[in-house]
Amino acid sequence: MHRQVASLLSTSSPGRLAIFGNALGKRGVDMVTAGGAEWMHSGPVTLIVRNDWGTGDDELEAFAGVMQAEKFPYLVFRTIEVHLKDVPGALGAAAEAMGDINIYAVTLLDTDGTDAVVGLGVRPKLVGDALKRLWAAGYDDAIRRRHPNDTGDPKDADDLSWWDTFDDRTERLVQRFDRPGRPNDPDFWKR
Amino acid sequence: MHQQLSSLLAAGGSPGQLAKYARQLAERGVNIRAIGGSEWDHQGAVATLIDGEVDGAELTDWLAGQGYRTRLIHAAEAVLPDEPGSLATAAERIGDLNILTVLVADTHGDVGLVSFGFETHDEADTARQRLSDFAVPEHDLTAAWEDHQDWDRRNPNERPDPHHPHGHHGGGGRGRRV
Repeated sequence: MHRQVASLLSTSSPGRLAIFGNALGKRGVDMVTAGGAEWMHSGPVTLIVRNDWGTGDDELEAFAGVMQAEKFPYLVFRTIEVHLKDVPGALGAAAEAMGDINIYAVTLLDTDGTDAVVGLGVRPKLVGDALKRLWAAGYDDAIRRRHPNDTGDPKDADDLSWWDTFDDRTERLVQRFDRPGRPNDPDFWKR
Repeated sequence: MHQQLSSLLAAGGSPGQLAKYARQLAERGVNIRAIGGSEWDHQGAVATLIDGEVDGAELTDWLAGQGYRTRLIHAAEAVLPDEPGSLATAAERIGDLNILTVLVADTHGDVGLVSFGFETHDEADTARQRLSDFAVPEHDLTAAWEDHQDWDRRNPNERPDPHHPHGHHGGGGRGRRV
């Protein structure tokens, strides 16, 4: 539950979300949250897989297998967790603090009536920079969303002990992702 | 009746779009209840859940004037068990209706409140009928949310009772809580 996956659903055909959800359900992949919208027949969604440690035998690997089999392109981003007051402008202020760091996905992680926890999906390479900017802007409790097995110091922005092969994949592909015309590139659904 | 917006953010080539979009909503006094989305191929549409008393039609026009093409989406909500395949089951029940947006608006224990967005109010009504026992009755989001959050504070570790009139979204049995 510590990463955000962005995947592309072509929603011009009703039932695509069911196909997507069914394929994941059959492989036992439990989605904690999902969010997205379509525009011009293109429907990217962001979702969080429950067991996404990335050890090779968890649900993230199963997710990757489903994406490859069903040819759904995807990228796995790291989640920066920010605690916000539940008032107008709170999300905008946090996103402004990120400056020119692109937010590839956004989702609500939790709310308790007073505060909301929002997940901002960023490329792995910029996790440290994103944290430093948020801390400098006063978001002292911003952290990279952590897995229970994480051992690094959450306040060490330069810690990279969490980096794994999914991060390698994202960094390899995101350079091409940021250029137009990539949605049908097979590399985006291969593991 | 609460509202969802689907807004197009050209996020890939221009970092900062989410900040600008959220700032525009704030300047209109709009509080974001839930948001979800990602970009692909420089197209970044986000689904945004806002309060029911906001004039959605006026807001979409205003956002369009700020450069954010926006559609007002009609929502049907469902309480789904937090287990593999539950989203697929709900989407299968919805069948041939095109789901424009999907948002997990809240989670509580082993259930989640999922909001599906549709082009028309009639489609949302049909979706609610098809979702059957998963469906949440139409309700006013603000009152329901406040009721839900109040219940959450008083029962932090308790699983909501889906059959109790005050145990779900919407005070007085207007909706269901997760």
